[in-house]
Amino acid sequence: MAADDCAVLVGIARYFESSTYPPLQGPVHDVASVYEWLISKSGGDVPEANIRKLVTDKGLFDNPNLKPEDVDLSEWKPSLASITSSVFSLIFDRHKRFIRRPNGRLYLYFSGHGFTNEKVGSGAALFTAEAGGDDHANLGGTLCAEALANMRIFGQIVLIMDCCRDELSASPYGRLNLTDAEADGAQRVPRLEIYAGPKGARAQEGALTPDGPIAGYLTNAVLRALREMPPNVVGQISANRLNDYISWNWSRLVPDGTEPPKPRIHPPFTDQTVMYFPSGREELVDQEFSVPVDRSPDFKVWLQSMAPNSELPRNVGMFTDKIVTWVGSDPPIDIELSKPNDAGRQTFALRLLAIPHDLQMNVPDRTAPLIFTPGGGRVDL
Amino acid sequence: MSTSDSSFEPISVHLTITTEDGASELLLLNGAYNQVGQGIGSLSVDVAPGAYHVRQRIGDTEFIEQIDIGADDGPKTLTFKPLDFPSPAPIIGTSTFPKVNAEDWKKPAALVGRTGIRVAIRTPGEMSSPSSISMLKHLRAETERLRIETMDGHLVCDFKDSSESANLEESALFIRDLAVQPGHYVLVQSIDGERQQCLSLIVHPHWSPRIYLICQRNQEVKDSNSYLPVSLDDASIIYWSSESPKSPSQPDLIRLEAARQALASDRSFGGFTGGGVEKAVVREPMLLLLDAYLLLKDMRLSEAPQVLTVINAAAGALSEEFPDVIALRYGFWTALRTKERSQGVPSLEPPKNPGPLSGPPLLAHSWRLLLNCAKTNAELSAIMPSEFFPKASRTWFVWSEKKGARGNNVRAHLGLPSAVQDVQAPEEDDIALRIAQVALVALMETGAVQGWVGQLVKVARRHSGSPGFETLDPILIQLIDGLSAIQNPLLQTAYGREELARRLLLSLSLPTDRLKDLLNMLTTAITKEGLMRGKTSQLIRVFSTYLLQKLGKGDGAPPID
Repeated sequence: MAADDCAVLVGIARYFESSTYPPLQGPVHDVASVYEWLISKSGGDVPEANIRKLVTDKGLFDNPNLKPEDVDLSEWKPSLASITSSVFSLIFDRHKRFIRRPNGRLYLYFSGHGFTNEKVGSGAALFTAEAGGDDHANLGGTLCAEALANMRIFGQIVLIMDCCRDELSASPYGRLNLTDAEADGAQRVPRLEIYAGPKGARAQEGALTPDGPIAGYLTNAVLRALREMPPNVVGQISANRLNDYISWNWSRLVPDGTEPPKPRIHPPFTDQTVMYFPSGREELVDQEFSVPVDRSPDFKVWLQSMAPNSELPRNVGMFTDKIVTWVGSDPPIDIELSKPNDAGRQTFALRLLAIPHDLQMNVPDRTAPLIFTPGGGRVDL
Repeated sequence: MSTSDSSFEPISVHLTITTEDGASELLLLNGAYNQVGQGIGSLSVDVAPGAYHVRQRIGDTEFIEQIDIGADDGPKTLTFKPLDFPSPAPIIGTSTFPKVNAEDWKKPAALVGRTGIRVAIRTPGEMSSPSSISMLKHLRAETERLRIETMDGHLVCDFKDSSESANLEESALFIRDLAVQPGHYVLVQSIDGERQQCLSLIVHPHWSPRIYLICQRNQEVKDSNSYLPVSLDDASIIYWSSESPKSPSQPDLIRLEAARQALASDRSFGGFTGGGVEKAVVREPMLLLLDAYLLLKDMRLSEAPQVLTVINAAAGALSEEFPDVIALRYGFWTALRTKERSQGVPSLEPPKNPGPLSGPPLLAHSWRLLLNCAKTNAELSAIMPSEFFPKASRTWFVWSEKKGARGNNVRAHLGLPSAVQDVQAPEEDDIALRIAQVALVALMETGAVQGWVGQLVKVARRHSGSPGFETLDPILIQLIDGLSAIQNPLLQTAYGREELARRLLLSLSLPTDRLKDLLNMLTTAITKEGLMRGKTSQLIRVFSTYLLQKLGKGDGAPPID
């Protein structure tokens, strides 16, 4: 379990002023979908106690025609105050000291009406439920992620904003009331930022199937990509590949006949830690391999899944005494080799799809492809 | 110890992909979505057997196909059909070019053997049905908003007069050919009674610009006759040889349009001239300018010779004095110097400067580069009207101005001999920018400013949906917006006040000696209205009155927050 991981999920479907911020159908459903992925073992595997879920109250949701005067202002939630309070409950202890989770990841998910202020740079903000009239109450999601990264409270941050990015240059972003100081090493905190569209674009929601629930297209696409994308040799999906997959498959990931703007996904910088997600593919299995200790120093292995499901492209494994480095699907992945056993072999494990694979080695009498399906016995190289 | 064969490599298959249009961007990704190849019009690469995705793209139009490469396949060649992409340029086969009107484009031009300007504006091709009456009305209205002026403001042609005799209802197309002398011109688009948008045009002694504009339906409003104003920045501009008119079906027009759309989409994927640099010199210099900018973006040191070849070719076709060539020379030198410094390579000599700029450049990228060089920055200030506002355009240099703002600014006509001379390297420290930066920081540190900026923004926003809002002084609005944004303490911590001030000033895209005047205007207003003494409401009242008067809503007491 990702014991140090935390999440704040916000879905705002009703606003104080419905003429400016029309009722939405998707956010509450989307938060439920993200929550389900976060707590699942094959998803985020985040402890439920570490998740703060804030959505429009059922009373408000079921009565989209309520007028501002029908409801006390304090009832319009999630508000900037309630979101701030939820974030603080995860990052402060009882003595208002930061709870630092250097090995943890923070998920920030915001769904509702939003905007962007290009004078401030990239990013977006979510209007909070009390917004109306001259009060443009909002929380700058990007600023929020930046501020938490600056504090270096978490080791990684994932920001998903399924909201519009209409340009509204005159409204400043709302922000968390945190110190402006920057912790040492803050620049090393990788951030993955996912927006529903480029600046100026409008996010869209709709029925995913003719009789299905209304959902945000971005949220559905991200969750679907995590479930169906081809993983790397250890059953993971990197943030960069997630970006590529959604970009290349966007028209397939949204309902037929719709043309929402393509999402904007900003993976972490290349000099930061690579951010991975577990693949949701059900066919994934662990597969053990062994290699002789007395292998040649330039011993190499080429591994790929076979057509027609050639989802794992050719990866090359290069060996040192203690490590095998895999290059092909992602940035190089190092896997530790076991200590030599009595038979003079070292073992290592990959997590692969249970479909036929083709493996080749640069050993003179063994250059013919070795065909195997992961999930069976150990494969001796 | 077991042995290994270090020369062993698993089977690879040679894959060649071409497009019939010869102009599409091609990207090849493997099953894990790693990019393994790219090219313009074609690509050729050795790949491992497996599944791949090919993306064929022009602008926002794309076609994606999955292909499987088997281990037993020999060298494989795939050919993709042309993309059905939209284009204002008259390219047969594009989604917005009706075959029925093709003959209209071939009518004898008044520009054969002469320099001049062609402006064409039309409805998008509707193959199955003629353009609706409302669309044709829109076409006429948009045409009547256009005129050609010299850079010093003299009218060359008002299309309002020409459109009355044009049979737009039948052809859904307006074409006007104007024989003019080489020099700088402006395609002017009226916004309202006070302001207008301007597109920079340059007529070269050997090359005449042809500007193609298109009326577009508002896609966001379904089932209605809602149309968008013609966008000058989305124009296709083509240089045609003054001697030899061409057919609209020539394939290099597709490359040109694909390059324009790539630049407009902010791609860093060049090479549209391919091996045809020499051909482009004699047939399409605009392609060289567009491709040079695409190649220059994210240029690697190893790619510098290719970029330089294209820039040299552009200079060969258009001359070293051409404003966009000057900008490219400076941009190339700056990019190379940055990379050389980071890699310890000896520094390149600064570009030779051919003398004063003759007028504004064609491309928005050129404008921004010329602002970065102190010498050309000052020259642009002398060239441009006393009050103007560069638009955040993606391709062409477009600005807005008050009617009649341009004076007798153009200094020279292109093609006149001018001595090429060595000049000192462009200065890095722009003193005018530095002074403005210090002044703005001082303003930011004045506590009162923080309070009233937010109030001003609220007043401005209240009227942002009002008709005529766009007639307000855009520089003032942008400056106030920017001041509002840079008050953010998080940004101030991240960048520092001086850097934020510099960014805000540079974002105005103005020659730096104009910044001083702008800040003087602002600080004078603040002082005059007693804001420094805390009379916030007084300035807000003044500003509100200014807004209401501009909007033609009388002089009644404005609401105060």
